[in-house]
Order: sequence, then structure tokens, then C-alpha cells
Amino acid sequence: MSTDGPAGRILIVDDQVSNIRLLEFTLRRAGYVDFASTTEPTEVAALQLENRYDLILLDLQMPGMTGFEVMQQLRNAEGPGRVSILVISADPALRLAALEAGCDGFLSKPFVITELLERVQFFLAKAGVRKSEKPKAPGVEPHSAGELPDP
Amino acid sequence: MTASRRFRTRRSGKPTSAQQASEVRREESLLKTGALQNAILNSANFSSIATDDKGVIQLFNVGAERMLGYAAADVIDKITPADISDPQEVIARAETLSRELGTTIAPGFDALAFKAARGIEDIYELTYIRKDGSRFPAIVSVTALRDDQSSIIGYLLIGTDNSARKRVEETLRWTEESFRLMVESVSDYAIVMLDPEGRVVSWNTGAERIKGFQADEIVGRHFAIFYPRDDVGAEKPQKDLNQAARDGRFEDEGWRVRKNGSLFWANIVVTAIRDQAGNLRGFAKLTRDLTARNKVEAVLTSAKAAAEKANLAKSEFLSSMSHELRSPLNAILGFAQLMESDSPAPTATQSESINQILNAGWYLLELINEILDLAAIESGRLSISLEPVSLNELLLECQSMIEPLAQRRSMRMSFPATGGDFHVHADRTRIKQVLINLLSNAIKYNTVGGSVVVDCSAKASAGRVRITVTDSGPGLPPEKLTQLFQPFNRLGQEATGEEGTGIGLVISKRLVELMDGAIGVESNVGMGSVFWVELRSTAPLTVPAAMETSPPAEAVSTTSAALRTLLYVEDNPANLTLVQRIISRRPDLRMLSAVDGQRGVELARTCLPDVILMDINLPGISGIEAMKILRDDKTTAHIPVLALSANAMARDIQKGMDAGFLRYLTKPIKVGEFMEALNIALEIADKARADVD
Repeated sequence: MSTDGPAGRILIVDDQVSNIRLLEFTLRRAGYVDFASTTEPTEVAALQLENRYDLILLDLQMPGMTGFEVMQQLRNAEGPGRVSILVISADPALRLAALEAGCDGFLSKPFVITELLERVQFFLAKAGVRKSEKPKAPGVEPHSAGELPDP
Repeated sequence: MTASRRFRTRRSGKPTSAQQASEVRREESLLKTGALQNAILNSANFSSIATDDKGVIQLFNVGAERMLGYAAADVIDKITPADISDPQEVIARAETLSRELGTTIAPGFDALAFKAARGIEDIYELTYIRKDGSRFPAIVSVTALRDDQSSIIGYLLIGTDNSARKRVEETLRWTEESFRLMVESVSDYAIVMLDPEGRVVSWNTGAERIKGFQADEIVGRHFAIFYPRDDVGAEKPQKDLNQAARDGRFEDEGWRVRKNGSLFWANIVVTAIRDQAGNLRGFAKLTRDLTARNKVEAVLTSAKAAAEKANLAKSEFLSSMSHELRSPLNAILGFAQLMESDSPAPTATQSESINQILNAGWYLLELINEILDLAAIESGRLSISLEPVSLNELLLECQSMIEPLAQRRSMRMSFPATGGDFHVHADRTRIKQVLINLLSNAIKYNTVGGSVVVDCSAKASAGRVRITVTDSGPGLPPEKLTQLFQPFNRLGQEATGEEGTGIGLVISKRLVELMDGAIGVESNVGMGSVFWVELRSTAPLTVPAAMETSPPAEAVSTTSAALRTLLYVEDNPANLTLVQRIISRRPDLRMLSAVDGQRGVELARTCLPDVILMDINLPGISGIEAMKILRDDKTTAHIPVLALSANAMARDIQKGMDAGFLRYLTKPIKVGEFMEALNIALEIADKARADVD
């Protein structure tokens, strides 16, 4: 992974600290520095308004507020700068519902670390493109059929 | 004749002339009368017996001779008709008449002629006894013969053989009696006759049993008594009868009332009974008590509901179990992956430990997925989509997936040489799952340094292709072969430390069967095993010949010279290659691809292609579902989307059009149609872009 610190602000949302730690370790090892985390889904919308993250890694099943509700709040509140949301859920059956709710990507737990990093890179690149106001992402490679244990 | 002449001769005196004239007329008349009498008396079908006033037979005609077996000479002036009648009957008749007329009548000829002698018309039935002693029933009419002074001079007994009528009557009586007994004895059905007004006329055992009334309590009462009060208030009894009278038959199911007021659930059939002239004579009403059946149905319904509820609970449990296991597993596998690639690198011992954690973790995940898979298959929730799949490509993919495992086990793998290719009708994702299962079994349950050989062959006769996976393992005895495809049966492998769920083959079998295929095994101890899968063969997807010969399509002249982007969402590499080749002839187009619906949606949101080409049968999210997501998202809602699917049923196409596809194209691809649809889509995209500008 890149060592000169890839750009992009990331927020991790998960009610389980072990999962947050795992994502933090993984991102840090990959050279990301600008990330934060919360176990409190109700805070996400406010944090987003304040910090303008480029990517939110969002769990779905959390006590108090589900990831779906978080997405709804975010989508309702956001202006033109639309944040990318990568849902990371332990329930692969929610894939369709999550996409319908407006997430940009879906990854099921447990995940393969290299795949997580590929997705993070992909969404941050997209955010970078939007920031420079190009109409499209040139040179986005077609996805390959990754053979993951994810069904 | 002789007798009448004699009577007349005895009566006549010396005639006058005037008398003579009238005598001539009378003679003529008598001759005529004589002819008539002659005809009657000589009829063979009636026995005519004339007696004198004492009853002694004076005339015995041909019919009497034939019926009774006597010659006239045997009886004339010798016996009376009472002597050829059943003596018991003669006695009985004498007694009856004595009672009836209040005088003593002797059992003899008097008993037969008594009424006739008093001018009373008398026709009676009795039994005649033939000369040979045999008997037959007869109907006899007795008339007194009188002279001019009305004095009785004899009797005429005209008889007919009543045997045939007696037989018919007996049969009829027997039939009616049997039928009545049958109706009366039926206890499972209430069979009730009603008069045209609805009053009960007859009542059988079943009616007694079902409704609780005895016949004498209910006959004559109106049948509305069997209806619940509300039905009576609504005049249902009369309406039911009216309908039966109008249509001939009326059937109903509903509550009826027993004598004790309790309700029972009844099936009722009312049939109108009409005479030959069509007049309504009444109704036959058949009632069955269905209360018991109703109870059984209620029990079954509630059992079914309970089972469905239990099944739902099971699904929910499995789903939540899956979630609860996956969350901690994520941390275990994630941190183990981090440790594995940590710097400084772990020591050899640490690496060994980390590998154990990772292997066990991924295995646990596989187990969870397989259990969910099996549950989905068993509840019928798993849907598969069949399309032509190239075995060459499929086996290449399988080879690359299984190679790492084979290398770790130092297993020699042999795949069929690419060249001749087979295409099968299969669900691409699921058949891969089946083959990977067979391959990993062949590697895991093999001998050290063994081999696995994969082969394909056509079974031309049945239009099927067989894929075989042959291992050099220890083989299986016949008794274990039968247990192979049963859930959680690991055939003792749990003792070997080899990981496995024991449901992989079960799932494989169900999946192959869903694809209209077959799976099986041949094995001998010490000879290894051959697992095989048979699937329907099909024609491959090919670049149509027309396209190979046609010149490269000209770049469509458009207002914009910009390179346009087509996103093709398709999991089948053969289709991707085909469309890529078609697109390569359009310098104004470039193609992006995504292998499933989720990636397709993600790529569409990120790259905003000009046109999207969407397969319908995709793993995970279907093309229809992906289409809905794209339509609902305002960033992608404007992009024209073409459907491309092997589902060519009108219903599928309608479903696609309803989802909002611009065009629904069916496989195999028709290049002309495809290009036309693509051009229309591009025009729409250009127009949308111009509108934005």
C-alpha cells in the first residue's frame, strides 16, 4: 500500500469496538491517517456536517439506530458534496436493501483485507475526481470477478 | 254352444206364427251371438268354465284344458271348480265371506260363487291346481247364468293365468323393499323425503342419528326446523327449495341444527322429484355431517400454520445466527490477516499458529454459508437462472480457484485440454459451486501424492454432457456410497481431522437437480472414486455469422465526437467477450463491465456511463433489482438501460419492461437488433446530455 499517506477523510461507524479497531489497524497499516470512528450511529449526521468526510464505512445492525436510518439522515441532510458510503455488514442478505437505501458499496463481514482496501481506494479516488470537478472517472478499470469467500 | 243350445231348447215351448217371425230374427241374432260366444269360449288364453247351478262343471273350454291339464271329458259332470282350486284358499275365502256377509258359507263351490249368486260382481285371485298337481295363480271372474225368469241356472268362471304378473309384482315388491331397507339402514347419511311444501315424509336411520329426531317425532313437520334461526329469518329454507325446484338440484354447505339445539356442519343435496307429467311431487334431501371433517381440516390448517411459523422461525434463527457468528469471526479473521502480513514478519511458529486461525475461521464461514444455502434450498427460496455455460471457461475458473489447495497437498491435477468445448444449460455461479465442492473433496479425501483427473464427455444419445472428477483416494464400499448424499454424514471422516461439513454433496445434489441435471458416484475400495455430474447440453453463444462477414460498422455520426461509455453488467465471460467484439467495431464506444448487479450499480453511480447493458440473471442482485436501484437514484435515473437476457418468455419480457428497461433483448444476440437498440439508447443519452448543457 501507499506509504505517503493517500488523501481522503474516512469515518468508521460500528457498534463493536473490535471491528472498529480492526478497520483502524487496517487503514493505518495501509497508510491512511485521516480517519475517525464512532460507536454511536446517532452522531454520524452531525459528524458529517462538521467534518465533511469523503467515505463512511458503515455497519448496518446497531442498537439505537440502524445503518439504514443513518443513511437516510445523511442523504436528507447532505448538500451537493455527496459522501460515499461503504456498508460493511455481517448479513449478506441485506445487500440489496442497502443498495436501495443509497449506499455506494457493500462488503460482507468477514472480509478479506485486500478487498476492503481496494474498495476504500476506489471510493476515495471517486471522491477525488469529484473534488476536481471532472465529469467522469477516466481509466476506471472494469471490476474483475474476485473469488472471495463472500457468497 | 252346446250348453247354451241345450239350455235354450229346454226352455222353449211351442211357438206361434208371430213368435215364429220373431224367432227367425232371434235365431239370426243368436247365430251372431253364438259366433261371438264361440270365439270367446274357444279362446286359448282364457279358461272358460261353465257349471250348473250346483257348481258341477258343464263346459270346459280349450283354454281351460291348456291351463289346467284336464281334458273336458275328465271334468264335465264330475267335479266343481272348487275341486281344482287350492283347498286352503277356498276355506280362507269361505271364512272371509262369512265374516263379511254375516252368514255361514261352506268351504266349497259356494265360497266361489256366493257373491255372483247375489248379483255382486266378483273377481278374485286364487291358486288353481293342475291335473299334475302343479299350481299357478289365477284371476277368476265369476258370473251367474240366469234363465228368462232370472233364475240361476249355472255359473261362468273365466280365468286368466296370473303367473307373469305375479312375478313382476314380486320383483317390484322385492326391489322396493330392498331399496326402502337400504335407505332406512343408511346411517352415515340422512335421507329425508319432503313433500312439495317441505314437510318431512320419510326419515331414515341416518337422519335419526345425525339430527336426533325419531321418525314419529318429525314426519309431517316442516324441514325449516333443521336450519339455524338466522337462516329461517332470512327465509333460507324456502329459497333452497325454490332453487331445487327451479334447477332440479340444490347443493349447500353450512350449519344445521340437531334436535338438542346443537349445530353441525352439513353438506346438503336437495333433488326435486317430479312425476312423468312434470308435476312437483316433493324433494329428496341428502345430508352429510361434515363436522368431523371440518375439525380435521381445522387441525390440518393450524398444523400447517404452525409448520410455516416454525419454518419462518428457523429461517430467522439461521439468519440471526449467521449474523451473530459473522461479527466476531470478522474480528478473528481480520486481525489474523493483519498479523500474517505484519512487519516485522511473524516467526515461523507464529505463522503456523496464524494459519491455523485463518483456516479454521474461513472454514467456519464456509460452514455458515453452506447451512444457510441448504436452508434456502429446502425452503424453496433459492432460485437459479439457467443459461448456456462454456465448460472450458468454467473449468479454467475452477482450476485457478482450486490450484492453491492442490499445491498445498502436492496433488497432481489434470484438466481437459482446451479445444473442443461443451456448453451446458446451467446456473453459472451454482455449477461452479458444485464443481469446486467435488474438486476440493477429491483433493481432501485423497492419498498422499495422489491425483485428480477432470474430464468431459458428450452423452450424445441423451443430449447431455458428463463431467467426471476421478480421484486416486481409498475409494468407498457400497454401503457408504448410499449415505454420501445425506446431510451431515461424513462417513467417518470426522475422525481424520479433515475439515468438512458433510453437507457439501447434499447441496451439490440439490443444485444439480434444480438445473435438471444428475449427480452420482462410482467407487470401489482401493480403486478411487469417480464423481460425475450430468447436465443438458446446449448450443454455445456465438458471434453471429452475419457479423463476421459484414464490414466494420461505421461510427454513427453524432453531434458529439466524444467517446461514449457502455457499461455491460454480465457474469458470463462468453457473453462479455461476444459483446466486447461487437463493440470493438464502434470506435466511438468503449466498454466497462461488472460481474454482478451490485458492482454494476456501484460502477454506474461512479462512472455515469452513457448506456447500460444489463443481464437479468445475475448472482446476488438480479438485473431487474439493479434496474430499480438505478431508476430510484437521481444520479443514474436518466441513463438508458437495455436488458439482455436468456429469459425469452413474454412474462419475463413484460417484467423487464415494467422495471423500466428501454429495450428487452433476448439471447442469443441478434447483431442488427442489438445495434439498433444501442443507437436508440445513445441518441437518448445524447439528447439528455444536450438538455443538461
